Amino acid sequence: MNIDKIFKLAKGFYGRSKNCKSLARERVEKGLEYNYVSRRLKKRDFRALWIQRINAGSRQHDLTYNNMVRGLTASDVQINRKILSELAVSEPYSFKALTILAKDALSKLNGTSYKPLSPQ
Amino acid sequence: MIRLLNNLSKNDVSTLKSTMNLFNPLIYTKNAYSSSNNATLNNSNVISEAISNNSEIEKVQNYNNKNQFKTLDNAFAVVHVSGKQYKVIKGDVIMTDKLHVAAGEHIVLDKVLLLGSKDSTAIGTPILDGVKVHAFLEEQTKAEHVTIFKHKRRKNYKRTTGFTPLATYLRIGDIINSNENQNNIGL
Repeated sequence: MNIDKIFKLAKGFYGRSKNCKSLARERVEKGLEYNYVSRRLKKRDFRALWIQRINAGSRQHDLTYNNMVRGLTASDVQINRKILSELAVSEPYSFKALTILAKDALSKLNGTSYKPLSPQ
Repeated sequence: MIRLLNNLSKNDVSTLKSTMNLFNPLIYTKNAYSSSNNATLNNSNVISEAISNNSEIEKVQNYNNKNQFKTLDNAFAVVHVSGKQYKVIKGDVIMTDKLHVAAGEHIVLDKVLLLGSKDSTAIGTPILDGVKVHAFLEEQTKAEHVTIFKHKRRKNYKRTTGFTPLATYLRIGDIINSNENQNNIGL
């Protein structure tokens, strides 16, 4: 790559890596390699975050993440985890409605032994 | 579709299976998780502040009257566009995949998965029948440029390419519900 482009990408780097040609080229190339890999990792990381949030939100309504997803797929709801986590954060009543739906579907599935989390 | 009032207990669930429409693609979107670039545009003075022109209001009203729809105030919808889902309200601007529609056109989004308002939520199985979302194409531009750099150490192998995906910005208009559906959904 052009050395000017390298220096432009090397803004904010530590020490001489932003000023000297060979050091900057090395660090920038490493940064771009990380970027390539991280574009694939980003998808995994966000999905893990969404699942954590859905888990936390559903446990407030006496459901685990796995049971909620089972219930939603059994009742043919195709809302994805990104939106479910957004609803858990910003639309609590809609999320509660989804948990009610999931529990309703779980109780109708054959061979399930759905146990509520809290003693009733 | 299933309608649930908020703050309702498990015993009050009533389920109505919707007539399954075939997924009839109208307009489709791609959302990037990176929020920093969603607001920037190449010609950034184009984005309006949710002020609809008279012509846009007329188009929406024509559609609504012709097909007997009613607008919903203070509602949000989860919309499925080109393989991605978005939670939208009126006045939102969303960045999606390139749509083969000219800029400035009026669009109706068909696949609504969930509709929520202050009093109740309607959950589609999987889509809600008769609920649609108006949208206006703001702009067709390029999204953020990505540099693809591959390198194997000590093997003298290095490749550099670039990629700029194409994107459209959609400004969301009214969320509408058909009059026949009113009894089912109650919104």
